[in-house]
This record gives sequence, structure tokens and C-alpha cells, in this order.
Amino acid sequence: MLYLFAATHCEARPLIQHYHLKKDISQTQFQVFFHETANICLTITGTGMIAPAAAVACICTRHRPSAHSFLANIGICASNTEKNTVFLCNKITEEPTGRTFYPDMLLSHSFCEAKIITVPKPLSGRILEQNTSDRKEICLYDMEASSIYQAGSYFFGPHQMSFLKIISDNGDVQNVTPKLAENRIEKKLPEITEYLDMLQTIDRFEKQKADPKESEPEPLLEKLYADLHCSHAMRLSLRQQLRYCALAKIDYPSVIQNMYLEQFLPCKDKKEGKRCFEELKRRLL
Amino acid sequence: MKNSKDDYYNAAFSHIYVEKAAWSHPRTKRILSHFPKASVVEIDHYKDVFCRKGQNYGLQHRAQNLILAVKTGTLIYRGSPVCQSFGNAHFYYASCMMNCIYDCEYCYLKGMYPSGNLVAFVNLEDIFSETKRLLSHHPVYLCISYDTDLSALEPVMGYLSEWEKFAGNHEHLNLEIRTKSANRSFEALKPSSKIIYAFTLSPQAVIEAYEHKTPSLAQRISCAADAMERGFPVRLCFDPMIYIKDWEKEYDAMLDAVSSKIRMEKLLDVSVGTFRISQDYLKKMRKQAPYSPIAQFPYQNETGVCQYPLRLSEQMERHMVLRLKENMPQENIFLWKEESGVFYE
Ligand code: SF4
Repeated sequence: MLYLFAATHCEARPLIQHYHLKKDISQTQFQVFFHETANICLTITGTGMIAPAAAVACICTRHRPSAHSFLANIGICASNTEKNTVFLCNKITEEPTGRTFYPDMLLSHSFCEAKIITVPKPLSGRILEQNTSDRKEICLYDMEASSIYQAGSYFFGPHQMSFLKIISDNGDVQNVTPKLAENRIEKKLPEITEYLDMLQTIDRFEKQKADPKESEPEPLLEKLYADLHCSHAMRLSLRQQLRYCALAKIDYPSVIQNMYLEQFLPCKDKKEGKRCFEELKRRLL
Repeated sequence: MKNSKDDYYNAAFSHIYVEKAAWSHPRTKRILSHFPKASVVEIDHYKDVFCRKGQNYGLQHRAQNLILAVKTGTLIYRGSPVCQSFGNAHFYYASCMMNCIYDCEYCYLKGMYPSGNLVAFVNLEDIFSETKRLLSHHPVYLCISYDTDLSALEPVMGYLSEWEKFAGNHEHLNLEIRTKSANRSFEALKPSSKIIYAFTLSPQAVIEAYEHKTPSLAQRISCAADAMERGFPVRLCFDPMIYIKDWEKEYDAMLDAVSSKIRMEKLLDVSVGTFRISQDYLKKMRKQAPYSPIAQFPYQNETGVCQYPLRLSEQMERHMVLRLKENMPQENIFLWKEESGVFYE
């Protein structure tokens, strides 16, 4: 599933329309929009540093992300560089605490990259160029990224979280109207959705790869446990043994079948079960 | 149109994280100059990136990033008991890098480190000073390519040539450079009996299945032969031996390939040992690699060290040693035994 988080409805609207998301009326604390088949869930978090953390925790507890799910935070930000550019954030600093977080940058993309500083209230004309060591860096400012990262890290790894920000203003926050915010996102929708579509494709690939049928020889196991009179420790050991065989493409069903044919199995008691288990292990390797 | 998931990942070292303290170091500048297109991100401490929770080692290896940092604390470590010391009393290793550009499924680094990214410490001078301090007490046998593969990274990092210069001024320092690389990094070094090149070799079937991104067996053998030719002492490491179907046939084919190109009796020595790993590392590896036959093998846990069933490991090691003895003196064959590296008798 792709978990999208936007601070306001105007920032979310272009995405809701593009993906034909439907409002989930069972959610009362936050506005949530879904598309079941496209596997997208978009939440409007509210602004500031507390509400987004609560929204991420609430949604991810109700709909538990898998190891392949992705989180993306999409919204506007302030900076003193050219407006209307999309940035993927490679470093998130929380201004009040000075803590810094690093989403993994493993996927290729067409955006510029920058660091972002999350501040507790809107900046009013105080954007400064951040001089770091001997080079100049673009620095973005928002009010949500660090909270979403921290709450998200209870459910996602750093490789699963992306922070996409579009510059809306240079600190002149009084000019940022809902319409302007919506327009900024709308204009950049093709780039943004191309990235989000890539996340969904990767999610699908990983899910297919993780198909448990390949590595979990479940149906055979229960009968074998019983026929070998397995203790708990033997069960674990047998499970590991067959898991390995499945992955190493060892034809373990034939080996087991032969042991039935040769009447090693089923065993009459625990003692015989132990001996038979040793014989099975020997034949499998 | 992208048609494979791999197309979506960045190239290696697309992002380089640089510690504030490392920023102005000349070695940092030199390394960065090899990657003009990389995004460079300044960090306070390498652990802020390397030790984040929830990292996926496998995915990070697919698009590995580089972290340049300054090493503090312990700079040189005593050799661990699960490693062979080859009879050296003062056996140490230096960790000037952490992690490797290769991606062997059985690598213990996967269990040891929380991240698949590569850390390079730029303050080699401090590691040299610590080595000098040890040398003032006794001779030192130092593995410098221990938790990494320095030779594979030499074209970019240049650490081997710096170590060579340092060793040239210290008579009682012996260096071991362990590698799976086929980079002829030794071509830039002055041949010396104090610099041992240790090539880890595996059958081609093991390389293809489990030693991702590494050079082929033929490339490694040819590289080892060239190093010998140049006058470096060469050690071959058949360690870890990996169990695969038809292991006997595969290991025999490997030895045939080795002996057709290398005069075994001219080797410094060889080491032999089947795969073994601490239970804690294996636990992490299994979680990170649920579909890897190596991680999921049903190992036997012998006092915290997971290894093949005794019958199998003895069979594999014995077979290897017997075959090696056909071509080289027994005293040059070191077989791994827990607690001490003892040679096979
Ligand atoms: S070459 Fe060595 S250090 Fe590198 S991944 Fe393989 S086993 Fe690990």
C-alpha cells in the first residue's frame, strides 16, 4: 500500500482527483481517502508538528503497513530558491530539538534534492541561505516532515519513506492562499505521480517475490510433525530444515515419500521419531 | 519503459554522506573528486546514518551509499577467535572501512552491521599512529582488509598504497590484504615479503549463486598468479567453504583450476574452513534474507557458533585438505579450529 500524507486538503486535492480516491467515512479523526484496487490511502494530517504525528500513528495502526509499503509526504514548503520546483528531501532537521533524520535515497528520480528544516510555526520573512562548510546548500522549511518521519519510523524503514516538497513561497507566507498551494501541487502533478507510480510498482514486485508458497512447505509439515512425534524443538528444527530444502530446490517431498515407502514413517513413539528425524536430516543433505 | 525493478535503483555511491569532522580532510576531497555527480549530504556523525533503525541491508546494497567519517575510539583491534591467526602471536586488524562493495550472501557483516552502506574512515594517520604505538612493544601482524575489501576499492580510495608506504618504514609490521577482487592493486605497490595478498576462492557455482558482484574464479586465480609473479607472498583462503549440491565435484573443479595456473608449493600457505557464524549474526541475517538458502540453512549451534552438522563440515574440510596435500606441504595448510588457528595434522 502507498500511504500518502498531506497537511491540508488543498495540497491533497490534485492527488485525490488524479487517483480517483474516495473518502473513507468511517474515519472521524482525520480525513482519509482510499482507492482499494490502486492500493492508495491518503490522509490529511493538519498542520504543525503534533497533528501529523498523530495522523501517521492513527492510520498506520488501523491499516498496518507491510514490509513493502511506502510512505510519501507531499506538500508545499518555503525556501529562498526558485519557486515551483519539486524537491526530494535527503535530510530532515527538526528545528526545536536539533535532531536530524535521513530518509534513504535508494531510488532514482528526476527531482532536485535538498535538506529540509521543520519549524513549529510559519516563517515570516526569515529565510536564510544555509552555509555548510565550504559549500552552499538549498534549504527548505516546512512544519510537518520531521514529525511524519518520526511517527513513520515506528512502521516504516528509512528506505520506505519519501518527502516531496514544492516551494510555494520565500517566506512571504501571508501570500500563500489555499488556491496557490493547490496550483503549485497541480502543476507538478505529472512528476509527482510518476514517482508515486514507481513506488507502487516496486511494492507489487516485492509482494510477488515474497510469495510464501515458495518457501513455506506448510501442508506437509503438520502430517510430518505428527508422524515423527515431534517435540517443540524438533518442530522448529524440521521447519528450518524443509525451509532450506525448498529454497535450495532440494526435492524433499520425494525423500519424505521414500521414507514412508520404506516404512521409516510413521513412527510409533517419540524415541523412534528422533531416530527417524536424524535419518531424514542425513538424507536431505 | 522500465521493465525490471532494478532499473528503479540508483547507481552505487550516488549519495555520499560526509561527517562534519571529515569535511576538510584532504582524503575526503580526493575521494569526492571521483564522484562529481554524487549528491553530497553533510552529517554530524556517521552513526546518524549508519545506525538508523529499520534499515534494509539488501536494498541498500542494491544502491549502496558511501559515508566518509573520522574514526575515534579503538583504532586497531585484536584478532577474533573465529579467525585464523596463521601462527602469529600479535595478530590485529584495522577497520579503516566498514562494509564491502561485494554482496556475498554468507558475509558476517550482514549480521554485524545495521546498514548496507559503506563507511570509509579518512583519518588513516591516526590508525598509523596507533600501529606505531603497538610496534613499539612488539612486532605486529595486521589485517588491513578485514571488514571490507580494500583491494576492490583501491582505484577510488587508494588506501593500500598508503599502507604500503607506511609499512615500508616499519620493519616489524606485516600486512595481510584479504580480497575477492581481481583488481591488480599490487601493480602500484613495491613487492615486499611483508605484504601478504590473501585471495578468497570459491567454486564458480558458489560464486554465481552466493557471491554477488564478485569477480569469477578464473579472474581471481589469474590475479593471484600475477601477484605471486610480482613477488608478493600469496595466501589462498578456501574459507568459508560453502555447502552446495555436488560440493565435492565443485570444489575439485576449483582446485584443478587453481593448480593449473598456480604452483601450489610456492604459496605462502592456504586456509581451509567451512562456513561458521555467531548465532546473533545469523539471527539478523535470517531476518534480512528470508529467501537465502545460506541464511536459512539448518545450522548446528555449538556454544553460540552456528556451523554445518559436524559430519558434513568434517567431510568437507577433510576432503579439501587431502586434495591440497597432493600439491603442497602439510605444514602450509591451516585448518580452522575454534579458539585457535591450528594447522592440520
Ligand atoms: S567479499 Fe568478503 S567482506 Fe565483501 S561481501 Fe564478500 S564476504 Fe563480505
